[in-house]
Amino acid sequence: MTTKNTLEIKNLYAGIPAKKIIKNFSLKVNSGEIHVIMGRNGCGKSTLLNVLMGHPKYKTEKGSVLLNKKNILKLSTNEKACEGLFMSFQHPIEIPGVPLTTFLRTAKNTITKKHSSPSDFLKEIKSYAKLLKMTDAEIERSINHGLSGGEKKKSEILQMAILKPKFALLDEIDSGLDIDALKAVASTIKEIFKKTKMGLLIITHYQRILNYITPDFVHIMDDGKIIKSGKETLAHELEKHGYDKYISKK
Amino acid sequence: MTVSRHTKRLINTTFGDYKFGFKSAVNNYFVSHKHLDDTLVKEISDQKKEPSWMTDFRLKSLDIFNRKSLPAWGGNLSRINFNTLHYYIKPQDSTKTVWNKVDPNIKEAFDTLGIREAEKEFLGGLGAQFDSEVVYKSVQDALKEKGVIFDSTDNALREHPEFFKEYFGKIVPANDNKFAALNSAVWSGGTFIYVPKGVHIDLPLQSYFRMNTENMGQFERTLIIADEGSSVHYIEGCTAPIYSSNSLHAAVVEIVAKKNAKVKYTTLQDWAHNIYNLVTKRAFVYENGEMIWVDCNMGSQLTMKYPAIYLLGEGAKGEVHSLAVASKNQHQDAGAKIIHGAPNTSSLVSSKSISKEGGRSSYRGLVKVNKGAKNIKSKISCDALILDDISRSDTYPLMKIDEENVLVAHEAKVSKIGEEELFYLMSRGISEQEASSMIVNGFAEPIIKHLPMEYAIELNRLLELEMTGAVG
Amino acid sequence: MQKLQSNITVKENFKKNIIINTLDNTDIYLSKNSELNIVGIFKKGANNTKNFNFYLENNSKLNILIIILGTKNNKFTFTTTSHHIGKNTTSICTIKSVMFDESTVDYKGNIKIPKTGENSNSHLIHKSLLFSNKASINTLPSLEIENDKVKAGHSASIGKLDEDMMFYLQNRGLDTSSAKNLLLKGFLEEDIENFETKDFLHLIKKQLII
Repeated sequence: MTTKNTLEIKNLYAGIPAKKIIKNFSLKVNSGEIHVIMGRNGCGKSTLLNVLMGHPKYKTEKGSVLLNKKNILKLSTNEKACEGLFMSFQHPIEIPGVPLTTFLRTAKNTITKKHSSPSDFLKEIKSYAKLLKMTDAEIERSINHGLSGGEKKKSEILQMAILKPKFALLDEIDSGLDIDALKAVASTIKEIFKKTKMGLLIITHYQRILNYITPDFVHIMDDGKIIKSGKETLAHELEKHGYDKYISKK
Repeated sequence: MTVSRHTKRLINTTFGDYKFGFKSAVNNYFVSHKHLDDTLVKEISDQKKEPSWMTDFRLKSLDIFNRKSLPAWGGNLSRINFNTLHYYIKPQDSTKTVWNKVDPNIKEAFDTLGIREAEKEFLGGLGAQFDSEVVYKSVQDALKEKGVIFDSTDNALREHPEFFKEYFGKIVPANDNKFAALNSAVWSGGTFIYVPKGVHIDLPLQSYFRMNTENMGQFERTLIIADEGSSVHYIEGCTAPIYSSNSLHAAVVEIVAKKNAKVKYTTLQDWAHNIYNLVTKRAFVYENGEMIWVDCNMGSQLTMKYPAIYLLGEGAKGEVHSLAVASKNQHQDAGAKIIHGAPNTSSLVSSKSISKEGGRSSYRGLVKVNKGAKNIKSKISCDALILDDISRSDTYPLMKIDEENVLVAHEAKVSKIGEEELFYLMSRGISEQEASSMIVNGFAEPIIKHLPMEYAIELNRLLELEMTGAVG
Repeated sequence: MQKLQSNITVKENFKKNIIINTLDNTDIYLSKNSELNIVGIFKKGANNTKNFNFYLENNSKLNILIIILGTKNNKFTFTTTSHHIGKNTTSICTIKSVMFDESTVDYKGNIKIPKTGENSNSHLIHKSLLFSNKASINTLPSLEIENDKVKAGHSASIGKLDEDMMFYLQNRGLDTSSAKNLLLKGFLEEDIENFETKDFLHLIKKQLII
């Protein structure tokens, strides 16, 4: 059931027309590994994930992104998703009139290239919704319509659970969640992780999620690249001393 | 719920997929000459064996038509040539109530369109009009027993003249506009519905209009009277084969919703793109009555249609839900007209339009609050989606307020398919084309949800099909 | 007080603030990268329709605030049209009308974005309060858009003073008349806060005394 996948970002440079944001970023993530990237606001953490998923706003200048040795950098966003990338958005957008269940079933059928019947699919989505402590009302709506920030994050993880990507990129999944929601979200992430041994890349600047999910690697990002890598203990150090110890004052 | 194959076919062609733009060879029972004059009008009245007051009404209306000028606003009407149209073609001798008696060629046309199956499956009554006459009309026995009348306007005029004396031409008078005058002179076919006091018709009544002859002018006239406390939902669908020359559809719909009555009128318009669709539709709503127009315009070369609601009794309510899709060479000029003529009335207009491939979609609306219409509420929202830089979107919502104690709000937005929305859907593996299609369907959803489910499903599918042309 | 000429050009890269108090036919050209804040405070009507046309060249920005104080039998019949002929232009047009006695407003607010008006950002708001049974409002905000890469919208609302707000103020001891005046002032002044220049603000407030 579990295959060993690798995601290798090599010397990536990217930004918007007026500004370079990602500057020589490199990182390798293997299946079954949990990586956490931490850094100050503006260091490029969210941009990195958006660039990996191919947001049209950003242009990549140099570098490559190899998924199992295949360079996926220039593929379109949906092709990247089909190759096995998934991003949980920091601010998930509302798409009125498009039912979540219909959209998610189409996505699943496209990515897995298998056809699941509406009734089987409904069963699956309801079981994950239960894990995430989501109500029926929350899953029966249009995408993210009328949901609070925290509910939207749960919906993102619900989608991840259904699509079972090779690599999941989670952008500040813990922001906007109260303690109970955070516990539900973290345990669902862990469950999917256990089942599929996917590679996880978590962006955060708080410690909270790390109380529930133990990372294998912690990286500090500044000015568009990784400036220090370590194990779980690096996160504890950050908590004690703050970023100043690692990031030179400008 | 899965939709049966037969139902799919009916809806598909009610709503149009121009692979079904076929033509039927019919030996017409009577064809009038093309010149629009008193002789023609008298001939029509003669064929229908009408009372003399109707003949007079027609002749007076012809006079008004000749004197009135074309509207100076709206779409381009300059290419309509009134001397090249067939004003009246009677395809068979009379309206049949049993399918087997319908002319075989006409029957074949409607069989291809899957009409009869829909009748069996989910309608309370069905009418079918071919060119100028209603060839088939039937209504469920249970409804007949309750006193419901669902018939062609021609038959109803002969059998229930009292309704016509009271209401015909009173809601839309002949001098309302040039095309109402034309219709008043040469009207033929259309639907008459009378719902007695307290009767609620649960299943929709539907009419299907088909233009078969080239250069045809179709002038159906519909009159719906919902007596106190009653309710009815009427659906009309229209298509025609594709010809290179132009045809004209100038219909008039008059509706009366009496005290506590509720009328819902749904139109699924997908005329071929050589047709001028100029329609005057108006409802008078009395105390605590309710009128809902659901208007979906996908076809025709030019549509000018502004379903109107006159709220004349206290507590009356009106809603207009409008969807317009304008593609290459099309101009949809649609909207709503609401008159608040009594206190404590409320209105809601929701319009969604899509312009693509050079099409032009315009919302033209009026909300008028007369003096004395105190404590009214009106909300109008117009959303336009413009998909490329060769298409056009206009919004012209006029508000005329003469009463201080009101709450009138209007909002309009124009946008394209959002980059963020596309990115989100594509990040879940969905292709750009499919994502655009989902977003467009989501955009139209607030209007589509007012359609019976079978139609909603097909309309979604048709929007998807429309989008395969639009995204490169 | 500046009397408006019927033709004005805001030069390239310039920023201008104007206050006007007479309804008059006016054509205003905003050259490339220019910015115009224009405030019109109209207490006197006009006998026929007056048209304000604004032509926006590349990267120009237009901020219009029109306040109409309708009294007696003054008629305010006018149009504003924002022509977004250049790229990356912005036009924010706010009209506030407060109508007493037998005054009337007949307003057409047009937003026109032709094919050349890529990345236009154009919004029009008309909010009205009617204080008399003999006053009336006719308003037609319109949009004519021929480019998809735009952000455009309009809204119009006509009503009376918010009952909840009145109740709140009265709960804090204000009588009906004072509450009304306070709310009215707020209604008219809320947009003025958007103009940053202190002198300009002061000039506007002076004009606004009801």
